[in-house]
Amino acid sequence: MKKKVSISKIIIYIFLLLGTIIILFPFFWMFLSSFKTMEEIVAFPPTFFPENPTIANYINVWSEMNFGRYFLNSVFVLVVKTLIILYTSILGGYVFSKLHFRFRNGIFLIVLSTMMIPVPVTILSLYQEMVWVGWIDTYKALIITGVFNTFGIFVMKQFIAGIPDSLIESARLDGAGEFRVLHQIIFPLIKPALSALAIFICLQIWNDFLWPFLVMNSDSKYTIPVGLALFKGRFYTDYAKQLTGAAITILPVLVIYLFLQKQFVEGITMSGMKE
Amino acid sequence: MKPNKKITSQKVMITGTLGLMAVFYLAFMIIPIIYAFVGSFCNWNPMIGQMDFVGLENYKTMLGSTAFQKALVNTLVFTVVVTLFRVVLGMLLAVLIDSLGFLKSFFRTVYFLPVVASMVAISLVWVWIFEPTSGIANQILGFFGGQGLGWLKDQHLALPSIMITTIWKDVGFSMVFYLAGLSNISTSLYEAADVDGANMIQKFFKIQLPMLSSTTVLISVTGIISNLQMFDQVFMMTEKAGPNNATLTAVYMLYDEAFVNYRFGNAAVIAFVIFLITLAFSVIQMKTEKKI
Repeated sequence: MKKKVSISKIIIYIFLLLGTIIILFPFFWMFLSSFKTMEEIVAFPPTFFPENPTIANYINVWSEMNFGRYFLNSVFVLVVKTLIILYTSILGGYVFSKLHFRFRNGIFLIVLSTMMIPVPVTILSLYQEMVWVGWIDTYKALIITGVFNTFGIFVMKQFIAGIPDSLIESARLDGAGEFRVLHQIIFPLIKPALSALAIFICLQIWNDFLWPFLVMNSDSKYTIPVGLALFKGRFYTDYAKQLTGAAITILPVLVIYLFLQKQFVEGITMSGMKE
Repeated sequence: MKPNKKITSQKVMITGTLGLMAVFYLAFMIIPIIYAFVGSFCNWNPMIGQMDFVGLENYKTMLGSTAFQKALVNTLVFTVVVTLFRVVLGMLLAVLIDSLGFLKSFFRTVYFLPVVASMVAISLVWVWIFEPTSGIANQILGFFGGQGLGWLKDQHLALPSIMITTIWKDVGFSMVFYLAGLSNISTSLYEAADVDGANMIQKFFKIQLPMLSSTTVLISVTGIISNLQMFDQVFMMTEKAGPNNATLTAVYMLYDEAFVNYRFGNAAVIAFVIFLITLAFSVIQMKTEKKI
């Protein structure tokens, strides 16, 4: 029996395709505009494809905007902070799920409750603390203030709890110290959860704006979002450069996203966490 | 198990980890909250090391300020609208995409794309889209015979413009959660509904909507909490929070009070108002989850 394609299915596809155009249009517009001259961008009626494509914007932005430096700074903060957070999350997750001590559950609840604290409440005092210890305009202010991530600990605890105790017990009976158990038994088993969490954390750190903006003062230390935002302030009406800066900012994430889509989605929804 | 088998390495790990965590959470969460609370009763300026007690003066100033009242209204309106769209559109897209046999991952990939991009960069693009003379939004309006709008320059349209940008960026986020939720609904429910002769709409209201209720709670509460703290878009898309404070939000005002005017005490008042509202919603979430 040949199945008729229902009208409703066609309508759904059309609706979703229209939505796709709405979603993708700003990205296309941004990339195409980055290859246009300023005159062409403000021209009326507007053109879609560049008439005379030019890479002048990219050259100008890279030289005038110190973008290479911002990129390196972002990468540096990203790598260091992510590695630290992943380790502390695994450690915390292990301690709260496989080790036993008094008040374990109560302490965990207190830690968990800190997730409810909105950023604005702590940010003022954090800034004051940075002034006190002289960490304003240093990478320490960005990294040290984030070494523990409650969400990461929570996710890792859930996942590690699913690891059979027998594996851990037999390692202990073989004389392994607890850190050896952690590194040799637990680490290999949590890879799927780890990559999902890593993506979640990386996205947060890479796109983080407010705190780096408040704490960093030197151009040579800005991360990409901060550099881009301040760039807008300096070149207020130069849309060509701004759009190009935006394009450079988004491009790496976009490329990585296209290759790792499944992991991105799983990372955000932690749907890979279902045991 | 021998009594002294509670190995030293376990103790080291426990005390070491908990010790570090205690230092961290005290230094960067607990003490800051308490200190900010104290600071809300002071003229507080970290730059000159000032922390002079002034009692309820900051509270009177802020709560009586028309700008702050406007900021609260803007923040609440923004939060409610954006969260509502997040839930409704996210669920709608998920349900539609889930019903497809073909192009499912394509659509999921596309709609999620804005989520991974930096809000700072996205804001720049949308500022350009909303540009009254050369932006594409007015070009499209003109194409359909409409008149150009002021968008971000118009005090009545500035906040809605930011809402549009935010919803555009955010919808994929809730969509993937709903897709995950839908994938957990067992097919036997759908088969039973088919036996009863249910159509798509009935299946939505009787099966999908109820089964997605915990996802909806998650999406709404996380949406509310993050939208209450919205800052990046206001900062990037409008000058000094728009014509006539049109896009002034609580966190923007906090930023302005603290980091432009160096009145951290006032900013702390704003912070605690936000905290109270956030707590209220978190409590509602916990109560709602118990009911489900």
